[in-house]
Amino acid sequence: MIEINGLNKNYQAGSQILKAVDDVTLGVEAGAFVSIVGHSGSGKTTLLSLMGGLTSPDSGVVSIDGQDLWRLGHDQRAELRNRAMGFIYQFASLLPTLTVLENVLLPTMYAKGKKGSADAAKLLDEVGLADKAKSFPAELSGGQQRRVAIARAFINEPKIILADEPTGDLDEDTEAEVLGFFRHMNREYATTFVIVTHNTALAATTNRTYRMTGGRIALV
Amino acid sequence: MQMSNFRLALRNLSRRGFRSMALAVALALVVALLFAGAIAMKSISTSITLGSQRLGADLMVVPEGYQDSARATLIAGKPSVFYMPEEILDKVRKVKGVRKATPQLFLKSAEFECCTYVDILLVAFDQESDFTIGSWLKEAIDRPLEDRETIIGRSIPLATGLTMKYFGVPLKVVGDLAETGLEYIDHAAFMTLATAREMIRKSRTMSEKPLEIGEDEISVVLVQLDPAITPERAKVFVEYEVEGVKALTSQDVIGTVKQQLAVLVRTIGGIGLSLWLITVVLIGLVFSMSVNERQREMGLLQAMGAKRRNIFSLVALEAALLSLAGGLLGLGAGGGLLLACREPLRNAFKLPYLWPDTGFVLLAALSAVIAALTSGVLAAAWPAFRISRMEPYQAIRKGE
Ligand SMILES: Nc1ncnc2c1ncn2[C@@H]1O[C@H](COP(=O)(O)OP(=O)(O)O)[C@@H](O)[C@H]1O
Ligand SMILES: [Mg+2]
Repeated sequence: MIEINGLNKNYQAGSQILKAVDDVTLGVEAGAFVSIVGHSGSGKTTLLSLMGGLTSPDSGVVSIDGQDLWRLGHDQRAELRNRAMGFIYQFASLLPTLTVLENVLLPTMYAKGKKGSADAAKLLDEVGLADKAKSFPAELSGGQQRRVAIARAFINEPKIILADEPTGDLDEDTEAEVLGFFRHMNREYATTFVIVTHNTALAATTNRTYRMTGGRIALV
Repeated sequence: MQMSNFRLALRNLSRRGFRSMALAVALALVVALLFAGAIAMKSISTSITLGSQRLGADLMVVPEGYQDSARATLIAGKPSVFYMPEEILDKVRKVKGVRKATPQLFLKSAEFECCTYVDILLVAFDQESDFTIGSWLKEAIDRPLEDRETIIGRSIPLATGLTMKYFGVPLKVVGDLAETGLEYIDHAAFMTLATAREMIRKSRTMSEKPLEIGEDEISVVLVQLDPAITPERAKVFVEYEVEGVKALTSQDVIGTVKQQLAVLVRTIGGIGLSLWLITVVLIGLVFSMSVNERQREMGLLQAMGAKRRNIFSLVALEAALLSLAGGLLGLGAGGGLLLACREPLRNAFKLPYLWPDTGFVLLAALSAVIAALTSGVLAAAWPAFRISRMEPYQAIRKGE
């Protein structure tokens, strides 16, 4: 499903070159549930963004289903993201001008698919926010906003979910619910998950855990 | 429910309601100015053309040195008097290309004279050879004018039936003319040549200020030309063949008004265009700002599958909606401005205010809105392009 080979991403930090992702090679097969742990600044977010084609590598290859992301045109990459990937971010990522329901529906705007309000409502129900469809993000708690963002990531039925500390600001019960939902999607639809987390207990329950240190990656 | 760029754009505009409104109002101001300006210009220039057509003469022959006074009289209806021998009429009639020629004699009502309506132009004309005033008269009384009778222009507030007295000659108002748009007609009292001659005679004994005019003098000769000859050529012929006169074409007569008009066009146009430029720069700046603030949002949309052109068109659509609102607002304001300025315009140009035909108004409205729309979209084009080219990850991080 995801093949990464000799991947490098450097940033200029003052006069020095920062190796944010340093020679990473890994494969994630379809339906896998993988976690990445590591200290802050170790390159987890950068790696996740590289996997999603949100940023271009300095060298190395990222392919999704055998397709080299950076051999695709810009539009094709956008289509692939729209169709096959769902992103969940570390930070609040809802559009403040849109209602919860509209936020969840955003990815359908760029899809030819026929997902609509009913699908969005169902997802909101699954993350426990059925009654908030018409609310605006500002009216929700941080944890509720995060769950809306999670629902949004699933709206186009992606094959891959790339989640960056998705349960960071959730209380334990809600975190368990969300993880249960992830597990459910993973089992029922064979959705592939790559989850960046600080939560070692969560990491322990995944099929495989990687640890990032200074841009390098190693299997735990 | 369907999410669309349109909905997104509307929501974004209303989120920053005050800013959006300010931009729309700035653009509305420009549109109002340009739209109202165009309509005003058009109506003034139609009025001028119409006015000179109504004058009905191709050439006006006046004594040399009095061209300016003649212009003032014909355009502004300003009483001014100048005279030349009547024999000029016959000379003019013999000039090549002249089909008809008719004399007119202008008298200025004396100031301080009792019982008269001061400061009007008394125009005596020759009913036999006349081809200009007759048609107006016909509408008013439908019979030839008798001696000691007058028909007055629309701008003179005197009732029919009243008798005025000028230079010792009673003058009975037998009717008034419809508004012509030509002050020389609207502001004058018309009478027969014989009446004028009687006034000249009587003024020597009856008036404090006798008219110093010979009995065989006239003020102008109005000329109708063969269609085959241009007024410009005929003018040269007349001035060459008849000594001591100048011939004015209707172009000459309306030239001053045209000049005034040109100044106004330049002023309004200049102000409008500079305002426009400022507004376009303003829109560009505001959109740059707004797009910078929304980098993360744009990056998120790209991560969700928005293509570069989706991002570009989202920003462009916001600009278009804003400009459209501004344009329509401007049309409304411009229309209001026109109505409000009717009187001042009318007074400034001594011309009736004629609303241009609907076709022109629609065209002007459409052009104004299209201009607003394109300038708004063009102003936002660069910020829109820039944001659409950002790498999604960079855009998302920038918002942090
Ligand atoms: N766009 C960028 N420009 C410069 N430095 C960056 C950029 N993105 C990430 N970095 C740097 O790369 C390193 C890895 O960052 P990141 O991938 O966000 O780490 P993590 O998610 O593990 O905390 C950090 O030192 C960070 O400061
Ligand atoms: Mg991170």
